[in-house]
Amino acid sequence: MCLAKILSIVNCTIRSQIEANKWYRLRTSVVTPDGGGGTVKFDESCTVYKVASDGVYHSNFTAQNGPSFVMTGASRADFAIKCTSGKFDIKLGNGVAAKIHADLFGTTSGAVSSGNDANDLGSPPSKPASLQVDANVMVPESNKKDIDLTGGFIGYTGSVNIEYGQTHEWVISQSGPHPFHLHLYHMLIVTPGGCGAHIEGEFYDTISSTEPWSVPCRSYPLYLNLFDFA
Amino acid sequence: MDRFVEGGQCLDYMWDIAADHPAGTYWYHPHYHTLTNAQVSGGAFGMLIIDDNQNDVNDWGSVDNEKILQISNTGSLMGNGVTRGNEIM
Repeated sequence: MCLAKILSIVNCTIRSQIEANKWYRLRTSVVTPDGGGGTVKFDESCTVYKVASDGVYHSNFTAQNGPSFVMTGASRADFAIKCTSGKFDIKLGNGVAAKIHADLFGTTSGAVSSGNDANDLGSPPSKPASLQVDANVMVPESNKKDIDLTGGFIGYTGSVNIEYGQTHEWVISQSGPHPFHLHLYHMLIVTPGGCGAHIEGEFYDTISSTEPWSVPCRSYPLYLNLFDFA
Repeated sequence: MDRFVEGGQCLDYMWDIAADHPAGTYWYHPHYHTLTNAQVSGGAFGMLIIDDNQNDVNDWGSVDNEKILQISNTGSLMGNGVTRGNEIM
């Protein structure tokens, strides 16, 4: 089904044609094994909201708008995007990652922009039971850890035992080019005001807490809660 | 548990996905430590999507209005001059 939407290939970059002024859901994954990640930037002619991070819907679809979004080298994002007519680039850093051709053609549907973005996008569905958590839960001191990954994750030899149902609060620092991740398990950001590219109160499964694009994490400790770690 | 596949060969994986598994945009990649970067740089990764219950999303988020973009710089890491374009599908 998706392949049918590819209409042309230009300079070896597959160009996607979309209907102008209509909302689309753009599922995006960034994979940069050198660890850099970077900023995904859309053209100003497009209205873009990041509605989900690492597979989990944000609490509010219109809370994080573009055109630029910082992502780690292993992050995923779901964007709600609509563009005026024209041909636009999507960039990662200074490089063109993809091209969009938005045109006034075809039939319209209920996803066409009404001029009220919040109404168009609606509200996110309820989070799964495992992510319906209280960010203000009291965390025992014994469950608070500082995890400094200076020197790389392979050199880190710490271990943490977590019982099912426990809540932990960890301070992650210097995760470097290999963003911190637990595989399968999402983490709730509880740093007041968020940390780097990570928004307070939202879930991520991949977290970067160091330069070049999360500098504030050095001075603002990154806290997270773990739930259902089993 | 390790499973091995020779270069150029295929290996099937089968999982039972629980009916209540959270929807979302995920990715897969090999994770044999010390070889992960080389294998991912060689293209051993991809997007893994668990669809929403279609009753939970507005029209804009439905499968019919969905585009997929995998961004990577792995081509530049292969050291053989090969670059790999990113795609919206």
